[in-house]
Amino acid sequence: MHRAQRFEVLLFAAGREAAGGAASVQVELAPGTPPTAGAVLAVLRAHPRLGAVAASSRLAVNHTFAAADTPIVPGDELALIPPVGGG
Amino acid sequence: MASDAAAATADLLALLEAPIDPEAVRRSVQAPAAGAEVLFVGTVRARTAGREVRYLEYEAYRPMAQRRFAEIAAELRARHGICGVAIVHRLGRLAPGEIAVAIAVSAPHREAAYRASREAIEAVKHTAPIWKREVFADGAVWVAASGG
Repeated sequence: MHRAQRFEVLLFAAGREAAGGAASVQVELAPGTPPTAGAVLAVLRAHPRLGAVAASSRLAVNHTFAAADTPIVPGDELALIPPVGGG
Repeated sequence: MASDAAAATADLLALLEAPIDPEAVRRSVQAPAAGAEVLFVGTVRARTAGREVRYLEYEAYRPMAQRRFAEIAAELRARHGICGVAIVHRLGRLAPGEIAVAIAVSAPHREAAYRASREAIEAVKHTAPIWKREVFADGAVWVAASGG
């Protein structure tokens, strides 16, 4: 794979706040990087504004918490899930 | 095989912007085979760590939260042989004293109902994508689930 791979990641709560109110962020994986949840999370953890929140967040793929090696494909619904706390 | 439990209507699993009616949540788990119903109601505390709370704001990743509720309900049914379960969580702005969450469980006997109720609220707090922002007179903070 030689082209950059772009994924949209939905933001909530502290994540959206850190992104200045944006509902989502675009993540670009370097060409050749295997597309996984972990790869997307790594990019978010290096993000200047989202990094701190992403450090304690998990990634959801299609409404399920993903493992680092969970593969992702274009069209998957990705979301950054900061520490939850309903109730 | 048809049974009272299997014939029960679908579980009430909901995210609401409007006030929760706990009695309606309890009624939804009524079943002929049930000898116990446990209703848990979580409310907004007026003070947290000595600071006065003006209001809370709840936000959810709705489709995933809805899915987690369904998974939690299925796990409880499989583990505890319960008759019915309902999970209803409020979203938006809540004042102190208002109901944030109501969980009802019915079972043939109280032991299973209490156990399932406790597990349900812990699972909701720790695994459902729902966030709570506490707003004080002098600032606001996102709160993650703790021990209880």
